[in-house]
Amino acid sequence: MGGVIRSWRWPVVVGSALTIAAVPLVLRVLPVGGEHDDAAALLQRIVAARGAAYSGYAESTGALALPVGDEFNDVSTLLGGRTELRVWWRDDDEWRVDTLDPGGERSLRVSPSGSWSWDFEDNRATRAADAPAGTVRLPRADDGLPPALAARLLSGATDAQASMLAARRVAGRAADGLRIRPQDPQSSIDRLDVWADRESGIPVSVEVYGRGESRAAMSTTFLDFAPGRPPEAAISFTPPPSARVRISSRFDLVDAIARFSPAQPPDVLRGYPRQDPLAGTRGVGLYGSGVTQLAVAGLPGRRARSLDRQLQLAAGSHAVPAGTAVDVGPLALLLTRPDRSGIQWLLTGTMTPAGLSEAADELLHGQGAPS
Amino acid sequence: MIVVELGKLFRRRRTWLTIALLNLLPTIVAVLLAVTGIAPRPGQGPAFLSAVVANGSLFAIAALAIVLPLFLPISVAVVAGEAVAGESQAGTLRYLLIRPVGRTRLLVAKLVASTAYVLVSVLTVAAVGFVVGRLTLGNAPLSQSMVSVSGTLLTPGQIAWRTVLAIAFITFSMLGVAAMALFLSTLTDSPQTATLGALAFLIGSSLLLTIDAARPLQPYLPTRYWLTFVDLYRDPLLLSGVERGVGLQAVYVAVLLGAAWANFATKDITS
Repeated sequence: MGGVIRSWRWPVVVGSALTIAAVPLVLRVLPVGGEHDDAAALLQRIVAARGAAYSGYAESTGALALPVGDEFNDVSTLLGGRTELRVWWRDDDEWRVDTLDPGGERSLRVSPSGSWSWDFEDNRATRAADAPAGTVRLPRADDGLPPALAARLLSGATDAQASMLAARRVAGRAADGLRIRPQDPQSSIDRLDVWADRESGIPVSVEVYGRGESRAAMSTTFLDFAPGRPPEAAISFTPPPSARVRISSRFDLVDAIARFSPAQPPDVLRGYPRQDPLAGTRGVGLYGSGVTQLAVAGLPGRRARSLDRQLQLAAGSHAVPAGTAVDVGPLALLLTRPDRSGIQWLLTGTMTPAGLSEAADELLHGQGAPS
Repeated sequence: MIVVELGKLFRRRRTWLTIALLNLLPTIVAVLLAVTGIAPRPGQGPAFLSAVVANGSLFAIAALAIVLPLFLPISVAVVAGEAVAGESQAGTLRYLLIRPVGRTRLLVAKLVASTAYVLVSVLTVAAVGFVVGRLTLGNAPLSQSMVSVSGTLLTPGQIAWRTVLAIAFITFSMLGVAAMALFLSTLTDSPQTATLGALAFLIGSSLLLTIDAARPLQPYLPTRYWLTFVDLYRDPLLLSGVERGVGLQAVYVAVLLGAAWANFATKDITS
């Protein structure tokens, strides 16, 4: 009798352990059901949900090891590491995005009157004037949110590029999947997979794949998500009395190049018209849309030589006839040799290495007009 | 039985020496910070340590963050690893079981004693950290608000209940370590083997958390959510990581204690 009693204990424990371990697996593979079957309609729904209000907790992961120094640490972490984000989005002019660290937090709160950024571990609050949409700037944490990344990359998407993917549960909610395969031969992006919340149409998970890659170059997904307008109190900010408060001039390296670059990029490059530059940012040219985007800037000699040395030491660096190129997954960088006026052009974007080299050749043959 | 086990644990000088050593490192850190005024650079070092120079009361939380990754689990693994294997090694387990005491009851008593040790250790570290922090790093009035991680002000009442939640969460996280050490303690007659086994499990978990290739495994690693107690000091309160951490630890505790019970209840006791 004792042997019988003893014999059931281990099977009960092992069975319970296996049951518990299987629960997340079962939840993941359980069919979501009620799927859409019209990719064009889903694409329209996602586009229509642009700017919609939501709040949540997201994790973005980049696999792009950028060859940049400490001054671009935030950008290299965003594109080449894991970032945990908390967001309250009332509309495009009023939102808050917190970047969570194990021991701190960096928060950016934007309202029509300007923005506050808060760094807990530095005990610093920084006030900045409202930056107009389209301002040339480095990528920020909020660019890694699924709705923001999807909005940027889907901007040129057409119905012909879209196909359906199996629905998934994202943050415990049903989400419909859409795959975009760009037909632009100059794009380095092979495909873009987007899952949109079935209730609101807001993108809740995005994966970006480079050509010939089976692993996503960038993926971002909500772990907690709630559509609807968050309270204003979650966004408003008053610096704590003990904090160091600064007024930012928003003047960084990108601003310096945009304002004081010795040359202006051409109006058309590789067949793409230049996007309208804002006043004071004529030094940086932006071309393309959606999954094919290119940024071009003319660099003065000293800055260009320093960058050239940095790029030559970077992994994946190689010489091309036009200068020095670095391929970081689907993101390519190229610094040209000096052109006739001594200017070196920096090109970066989601273009194939061949497309980027041809763009560099076009710039070197005198398309950029010295300012 | 439970009272007997608690009495045995807390009458031992070794128990109090372990707790004293646990408090030594945060105290040294507080004194060094007070003397030099050099806090770690933002984003480096244990959580809250770069902020304690401005507010000594925060050192209670910083002290927990200092001992949480290594020293606290070591002390818990030492105590829980000794629970059954220590009796076995000393040759007293046979005599314990000769009394009219069921094995399950003895295991429950050992578990309660280990849990009590975890709670006392965590509370002591928080209390000593609070006192040391205020003595060495500044004693602002307790009625003063504290700056949350998100930059808003928390009232003393909010700080108090959030700190109670943090202590409860850390204590529960340590129960996973205690359950692992207790299970191993039923497998071996050597308390050192049980302690080292539990530590190997935790070090392996911490290592896998740093490797991107192990990402699919990471949500299931026992140490994954330990440091999310920092989320209790964000505003608005962020509970998702804490909830996941509690759920994960509950599974580990249930499975490991179940395994400890299944093994100990059917084991041949020879010493």
